[in-house]
Amino acid sequence: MSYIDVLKQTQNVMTPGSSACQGCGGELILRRVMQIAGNNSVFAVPPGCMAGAGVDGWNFSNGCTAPIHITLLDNTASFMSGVSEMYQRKGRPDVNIVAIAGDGATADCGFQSLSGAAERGTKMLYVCYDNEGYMNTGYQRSSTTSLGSSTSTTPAGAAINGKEQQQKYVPLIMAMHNIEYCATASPSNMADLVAKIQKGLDASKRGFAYLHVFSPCPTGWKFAPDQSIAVARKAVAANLCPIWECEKGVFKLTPNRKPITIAEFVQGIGKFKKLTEEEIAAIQSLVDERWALLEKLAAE
Amino acid sequence: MFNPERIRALFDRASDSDSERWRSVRPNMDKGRCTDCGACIEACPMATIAADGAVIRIHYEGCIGCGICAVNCRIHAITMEPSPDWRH
Ligand SMILES: Cc1ncc(C[n+]2csc(CCOP(=O)(O)OP(=O)(O)O)c2C)c(N)n1
Ligand code: SF4
Ligand code: SF4
Ligand code: SF4
Ligand SMILES: [Mg+2]
Repeated sequence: MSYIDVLKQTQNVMTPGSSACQGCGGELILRRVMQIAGNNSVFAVPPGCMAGAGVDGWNFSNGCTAPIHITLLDNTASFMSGVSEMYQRKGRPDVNIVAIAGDGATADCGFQSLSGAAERGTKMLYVCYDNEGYMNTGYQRSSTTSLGSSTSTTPAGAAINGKEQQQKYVPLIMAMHNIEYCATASPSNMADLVAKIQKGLDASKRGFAYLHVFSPCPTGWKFAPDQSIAVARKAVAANLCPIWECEKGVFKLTPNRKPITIAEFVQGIGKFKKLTEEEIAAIQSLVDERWALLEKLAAE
Repeated sequence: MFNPERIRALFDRASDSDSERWRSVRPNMDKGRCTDCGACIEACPMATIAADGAVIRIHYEGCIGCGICAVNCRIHAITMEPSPDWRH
């Protein structure tokens, strides 16, 4: 079945309307994961923009048709470990155990519990929508925020010129946990994203599966809402979001046929407005080195 | 408490949907030009474009007027127009 047929034939699990911003990449990812996992699932969405938008049902105007937990910012993976264990013991391995969390909840606050669940091989799918910051609380920098991004805790000004550190690359760290399935994806490559959600759900029946999805945020990053998919497409072309997967230690890297530079990628994105030549060069070498490393991993 | 009836009712509230009132523009899909390729289904963050058999339609109750569908239709069959329901 083609991925468009999959999308046509699966039901929306999250209710229509929500208070996420126009053009939110996070909501696109959230809805796709939920509709493919379906109602025979237990979801967890910790505090962040997606919980704020109402998917957990706390605002009584939104919700979803499957059981869902609003976990804490730091315990999503350990919470869902318990849920998974319970379903396995009850003889219900058919139930999908799925967490959908932001980069703050994944790479920073929740990293210890995530690493623990991955190392234990807990049967679940963990999806991180990475919008490079704590968006729900007004765009504070996170460990995945790109160098030079102007955020509310690293405002570009006289004292500093945006975030001073390079981003932490979480998906490779997760792959090094020897998990069943680890992959990156982008909402601009929907066929790939749909296939990886399906693969991740399948792998979650055998062990831990992790999906890291690039998530453009028009409000925080300051670009026009209708450009979200275009920004994601450019991030893939610029190798800021290389597309790869790792199945039980075997890497597969999707070739980048029309690469663009970081200088081209940052055009029109407000958070990068004050980037210096040096910062652009530094991000460029980061993504070049990352690509070279992934090529080596995929060649073995 | 999880109340399936209440949640199901949220799927059927087309007439009093909030988004109808606060979006200033909404997409208009020109069915004379649209080839029902389905590409806009994958791009809509609200998952409010769906297949009605072989025909692709926009369900306005979930649409927040972001314009992503219009930008991502390769043959420009969608245009953003002033929303008649906008109460500003
Ligand atoms: C331990 C803890 N610290 C702070 C908060 C406040 N808080 C709620 S949502 C949020 C942002 C989470 O960022 P992220 O996980 O990246 O999701 P996003 O908002 O970007 O979607 C914060 C800091 C919290 N809920 N718990
Ligand atoms: S702030 Fe960004 S991530 Fe949060 S709802 Fe708005 S667009 Fe989405
Ligand atoms: S992308 Fe354009 S042509 Fe394709 S179904 Fe949507 S409106 Fe029609
Ligand atoms: S304007 Fe946005 S929300 Fe409305 S149908 Fe198009 S993509 Fe979906
Ligand atoms: Mg975030």
